[in-house]
Amino acid sequence: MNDRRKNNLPLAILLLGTLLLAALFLSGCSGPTSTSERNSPEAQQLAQQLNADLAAAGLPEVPTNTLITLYGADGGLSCINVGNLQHRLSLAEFGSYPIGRRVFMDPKVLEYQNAVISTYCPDKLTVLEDLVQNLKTADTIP
Amino acid sequence: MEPKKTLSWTTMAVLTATAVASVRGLPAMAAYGWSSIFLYILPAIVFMVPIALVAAELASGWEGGVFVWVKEAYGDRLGFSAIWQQWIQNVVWYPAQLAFFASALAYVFNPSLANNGLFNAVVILVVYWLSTLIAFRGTAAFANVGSKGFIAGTIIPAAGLVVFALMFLFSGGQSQIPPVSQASFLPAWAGLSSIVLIVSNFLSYAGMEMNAVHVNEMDNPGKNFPKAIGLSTILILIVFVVPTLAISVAVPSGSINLTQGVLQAFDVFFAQLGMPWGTTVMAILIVVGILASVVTWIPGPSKGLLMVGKEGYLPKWLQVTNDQDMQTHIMIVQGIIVTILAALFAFIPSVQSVFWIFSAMAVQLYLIMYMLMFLSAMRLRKTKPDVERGFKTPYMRFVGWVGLIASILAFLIGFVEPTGTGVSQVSYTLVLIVGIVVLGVGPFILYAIRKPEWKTVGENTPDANLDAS
Repeated sequence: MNDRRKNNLPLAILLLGTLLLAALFLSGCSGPTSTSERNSPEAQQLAQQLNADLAAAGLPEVPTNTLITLYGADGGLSCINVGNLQHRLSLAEFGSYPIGRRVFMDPKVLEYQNAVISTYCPDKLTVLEDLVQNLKTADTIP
Repeated sequence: MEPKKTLSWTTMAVLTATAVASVRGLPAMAAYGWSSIFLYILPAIVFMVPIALVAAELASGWEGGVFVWVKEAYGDRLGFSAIWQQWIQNVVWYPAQLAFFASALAYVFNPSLANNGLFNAVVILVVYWLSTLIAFRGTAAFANVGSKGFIAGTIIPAAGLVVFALMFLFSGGQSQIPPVSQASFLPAWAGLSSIVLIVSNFLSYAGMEMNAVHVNEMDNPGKNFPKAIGLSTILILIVFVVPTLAISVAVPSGSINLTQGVLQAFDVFFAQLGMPWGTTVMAILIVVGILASVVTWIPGPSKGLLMVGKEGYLPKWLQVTNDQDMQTHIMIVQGIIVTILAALFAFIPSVQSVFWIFSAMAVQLYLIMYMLMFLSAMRLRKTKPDVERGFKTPYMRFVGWVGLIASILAFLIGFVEPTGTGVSQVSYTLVLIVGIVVLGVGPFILYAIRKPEWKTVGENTPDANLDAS
């Protein structure tokens, strides 16, 4: 039994180590968007524009640094994922632990998404609207 | 052959927590800010605690998990149905769980890969079958990977969320969560939709009972399984509650970006701290945690089906085990079903759009299993009071009824159509009922066509790889 445990552990460590090294090598030890792109004047201007849109929608403003981190100058994952597999999956999992039960979407979340997509990738707005236009909503977030 | 006692009570506790807790669901709850605490604690009281107590008593009295417990109370057919319901819900869970694995892995290399059907299909299938191969190597192997993976891939990221949230605040970051004095600890009341929200979160704790199927590999399970359940309850709440609030610190309530998930919070923390590579490290760890959860679930319900098979309700071919006493043929069939589901899920957008309905059907079956479990526990107190139990649930009738009513409520609420995507309430209800019947009828058909020669319990089962000993 001890021999079997010893046989399993090096394999697991080897797999994990290989994965980690490959990931660090391929990612160049940085996030998916470089810091310089995130802090560009365009990213700052778009963050301010988003906050103006959020305020107009009655939603709380978000610190500019947070918006720049999340969305950079091109919307990041929010624009990449619109209408795709991960987006559909996350819509199904809102407000509920992902063991499969769907709940009513809070409209503030959809309004926020709308504002982000309108700001960073307005060409994808119709895709978002097609996906969410018929969703039932309820104000459950305090 | 008496199984080797390879599981300590702490390992069993960690495996139970691995089956239930994950950082995957935290962002969806973080949107609720302080009120997420209520959404965790109320379901814990009315659902998790009853499951934990009842499973502890049943496991300390009868080895074999849900099949044996329900069989002892209500006979073979309902026992078979109960384990089938647990198994089918678990099979449907894999594609979505592994799609999250794919999204975390893609984050490390190229986030847009997370939406690529081929990438998702390859990741789901490679990880699933790798996990199956680990499960083939026996309890010690999957327990080792599962427990270490949980610590590396769930505990560390969860703790990381809390630690880095504190560092974010102390370094001048602006918290997006109001101070406690201004907090709303309850979700906003919106009638039926609020009830749907609260009751649906009962399912956060589904799976507490799953590892009871392995108690015969514990030393003195009557004493040690209840200890394991107690520790796992604490671990699960630690993973859920405070890390969720930590995400809320970074991301404004209602602004949780649904598609970026938990890595969104890490991005914000690490940008403030000047460590942009930190999210990559966390993504790798989360990937390990998801692997651990899959490795833990694969051999669980399938082992319950092996017991069903040996009682004579599955063909002998499905009862084949390897020299580690692992139910290889059942796991292979399980893998084939997951492969088909994963391929459909990964490549067909319309399947992705409706997969949640399929999942909802399977969850309804799982809730029926819980109803049977609570009923069985209460019945066995009356019908078999003299069976020695290492742990007895205090106030069993009260606890049992709380759990039963919670399960029934969650089942009934499950019929409320939550999306408004052109499906009427009546149609949605009918679709769910048909789906529940189709997914749940298997054991009754197999029971009806069973053959006497299928029964092998008490005999030596032919092994695929005969051990020289």
